[in-house]
Amino acid sequence: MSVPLLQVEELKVHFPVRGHRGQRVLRAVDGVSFQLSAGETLGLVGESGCGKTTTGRAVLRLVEPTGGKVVFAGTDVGTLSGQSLRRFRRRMQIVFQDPFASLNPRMTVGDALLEAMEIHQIGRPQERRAMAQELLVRVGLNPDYLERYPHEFSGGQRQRIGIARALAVQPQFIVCDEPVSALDVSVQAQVVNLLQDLQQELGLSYLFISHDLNVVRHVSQRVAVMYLGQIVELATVDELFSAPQHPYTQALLAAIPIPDPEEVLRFLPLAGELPSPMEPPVGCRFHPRCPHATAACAGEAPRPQLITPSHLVACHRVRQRREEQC
Amino acid sequence: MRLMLTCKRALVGVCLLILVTSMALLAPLIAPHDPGEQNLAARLQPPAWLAGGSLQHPLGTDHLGRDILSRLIYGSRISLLVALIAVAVSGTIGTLLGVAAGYWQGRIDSFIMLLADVQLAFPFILFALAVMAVLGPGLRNVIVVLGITGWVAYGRLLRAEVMSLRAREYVEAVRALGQTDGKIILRHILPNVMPSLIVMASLRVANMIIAESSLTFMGLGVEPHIPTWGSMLADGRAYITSAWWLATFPGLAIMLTVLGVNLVGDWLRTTLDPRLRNTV
Amino acid sequence: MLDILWHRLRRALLVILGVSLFAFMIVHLTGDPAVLMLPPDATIEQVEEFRQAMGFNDPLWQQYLRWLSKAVRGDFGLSLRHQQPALALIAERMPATVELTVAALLVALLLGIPLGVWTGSKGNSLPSFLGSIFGLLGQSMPVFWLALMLQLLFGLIIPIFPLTGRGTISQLVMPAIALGLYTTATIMRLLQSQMGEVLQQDYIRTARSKGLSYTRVVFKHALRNALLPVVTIVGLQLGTLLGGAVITESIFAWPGVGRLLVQAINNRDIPLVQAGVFVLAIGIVTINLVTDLLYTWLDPRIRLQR
Ligand SMILES: Nc1ncnc2c1ncn2[C@@H]1O[C@H](COP(=O)(O)OP(=O)(O)OP(=O)(O)O)[C@@H](O)[C@H]1O
Ligand SMILES: [Mg+2]
Repeated sequence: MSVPLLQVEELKVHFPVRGHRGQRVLRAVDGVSFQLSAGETLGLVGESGCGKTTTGRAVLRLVEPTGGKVVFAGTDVGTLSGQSLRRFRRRMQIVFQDPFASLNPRMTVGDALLEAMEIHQIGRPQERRAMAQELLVRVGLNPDYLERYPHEFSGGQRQRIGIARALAVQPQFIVCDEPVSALDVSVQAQVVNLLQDLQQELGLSYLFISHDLNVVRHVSQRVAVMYLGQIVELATVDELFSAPQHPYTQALLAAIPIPDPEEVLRFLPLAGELPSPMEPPVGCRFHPRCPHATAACAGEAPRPQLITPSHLVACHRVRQRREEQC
Repeated sequence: MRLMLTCKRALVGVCLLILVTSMALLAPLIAPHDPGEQNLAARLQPPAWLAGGSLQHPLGTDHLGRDILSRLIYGSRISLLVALIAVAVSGTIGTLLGVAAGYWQGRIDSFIMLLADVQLAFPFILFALAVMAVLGPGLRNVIVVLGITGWVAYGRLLRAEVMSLRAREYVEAVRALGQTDGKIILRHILPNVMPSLIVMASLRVANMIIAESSLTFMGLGVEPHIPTWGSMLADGRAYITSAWWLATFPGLAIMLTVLGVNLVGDWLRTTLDPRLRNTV
Repeated sequence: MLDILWHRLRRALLVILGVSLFAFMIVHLTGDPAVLMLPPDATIEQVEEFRQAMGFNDPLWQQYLRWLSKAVRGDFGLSLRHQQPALALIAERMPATVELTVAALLVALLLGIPLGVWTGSKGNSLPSFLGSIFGLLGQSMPVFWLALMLQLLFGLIIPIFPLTGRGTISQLVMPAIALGLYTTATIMRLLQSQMGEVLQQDYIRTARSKGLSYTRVVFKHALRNALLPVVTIVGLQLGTLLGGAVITESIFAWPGVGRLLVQAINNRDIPLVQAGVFVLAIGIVTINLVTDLLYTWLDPRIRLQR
């Protein structure tokens, strides 16, 4: 593999929270590392609140990371500031979950697209309208929609507009934060297909965040599983879905057959509640809910280990079993 | 139903405001006398409908024989002028500080909110009086003091609104596009806080009218030679035992103007900004 | 809980520090405090001597620190006019101001709550209409005019209360009403709209359909819920009342801090003004702190908020 397009090392995002027992720290993301090649899609899954969105926002520096490093195409994003950061933003974009909140209700579609192009001086001013129309066509919308306001569109159409706005600055990498979870099932497939087509045509890389394991399986080459701010398993789609190693991943996959994918992650066959990211369990963060937990799991946090060249797991049990096999 | 009710009230309010505004605009045309014209022969004349009154001075005359109606008409100019400018000044300051606090948060926010708390800790009238005493009375100083001290209400409101707007996904999206903070605020935040800002400003006009007249009444507001409702009341206070009309009419004028502003403000609140409905 | 206490206390101290800075700065607004404080006919030598004596030639921050370090020990200097310690003069007048403020608050609560409940539980009827008018007028009347009108009506035309002064209960009535009416109107309006809203709610209808009488429903269920926001504004209004007392006291010649300070302002008695502004501000900060903690203690839901 050549030099990856995106390299994330030990990324941490801690939020100060003022609770009724004073100032505390919420560890939304706590040491996340992964890489992404050009043209690749990395899926990111996990329960609600485990830090998926925060990871995506921190990679784009929409929230300041507390620690760690994000290197994009050889540039350490953390060292950029002001003008240079704003110029760099052109290369990395984001598509949000809620198509009703992601467009300014007081701006027409055309204004939103033109604004994006103006920021980075893409095209000559007199060409931009035509370019905006092209963008609409590219995402499967009528070019005449330029003059309309967001409230005139359906959820799926708005999501397409959001995608068009991201594409307007010609990025190389897009964080897709649950881009279809808020849409009707019938529309979901269309938007997923659109994203895939665009990836083909434009050579985009995606960090694809989702609740829906079926969708992730469909779009990703590799998948990372997050639990309480950390990646517990990262592998190629085939390996992850055919031979999941981490007990948490196993639990996630066991839940798939439930017909409504939205419900999947809410009814995990796991004991106990999701612990608070303000007081993550000591040792392996998953151990209080893990069916295989031993005393060792409560002691030290397991380090991520490669069990095949493309399969990373952070679990004491998996490591022990491998050591026994050797 | 409730909306209908505030609608009818708003109509009353609008009528009151039209009355006061046209008084202010047309003062030289409709005032029967020059407001400063003294007529020592006709001092303390009662209103026309009382014994000893004359149609020459429909609302009577003051201790210098000046026509009360004319002074009332001219006084509306000062009340409206001071209130509108003070609201514009304090609204601008409050918007700037509130937006800065809500948008950048962190230290800027802590500092601005501390400033707000400090200001709210002062008994407003006392502080304003003290500052006016140091700066000296005068129309300009009244506007400066009211304009500078009045920002807190806007500041707090806008801070909260901007904070929630800033967390909206469309603002985040524009940030991700690389837009500058200034343009994000101008294009995406300010237009969306406008309704609350307008409601707040309208309600604050009422406070400013009362504040100006209070300062003037206490002798530390607008210069005494300018006819204002506050100074008329201050003059009238000394004659409350013998000539009640001196103090009564300017107070009524203040009350009706403030009432008009409040009625219209309430109506704006219920129509423009449902979230503010429960603040009285 | 202890943490919140500590946090709020720290905040209050910070605010008081800010207040002290502003109180100190009042004198320096025009640049030359000596000229401001001395009579206009003072000679140049006198001004210079006064400047030296007061330390006005030192750098501003030194003057501030000196002033502050004395202020925390309760020393605000001598009143220029009374030639007595400023703080002592204020302390002496404080009981009168507290009496008036508390009386005004009582008027507001004893008048505002029943009126609000009564008019709020009547739907669209004459009482509700009259209540609304009273509320609106009450909020639109300037305190000083109301005070004058009360004097005119109940002191002169129908002389039942003395015009000015302090000492007897009957002397307290008019100032308390004048000062308290705005708050009365505010509480009444709030309660009126709250009652209207609460009475529309499902659980109230359920209670009624179970055969409870209307009066019982109003008092047992609706009032309790409608009162919560009232509690919230009482704390805020105390500060407003304390400030409004300045004007009320002047008109009724009520020998409180407000009147003392207005006189001090007119006499350019700056040490006294500074002390008064500072002391009243500390009072307001303390009231806010106490009410704040009270809510936190009463309502666990807001504990998580700032
Ligand atoms: N700005 C913030 N301040 C404080 N806490 C935050 C902030 N943003 C997120 N969090 C907290 O960080 C944790 C992770 O949130 P995040 O939104 O990243 O989760 P997620 O995996 O995207 O969840 P979901 O699936 O519900 O979108 C949550 O506990 C959340 O409450
Ligand atoms: Mg999320």
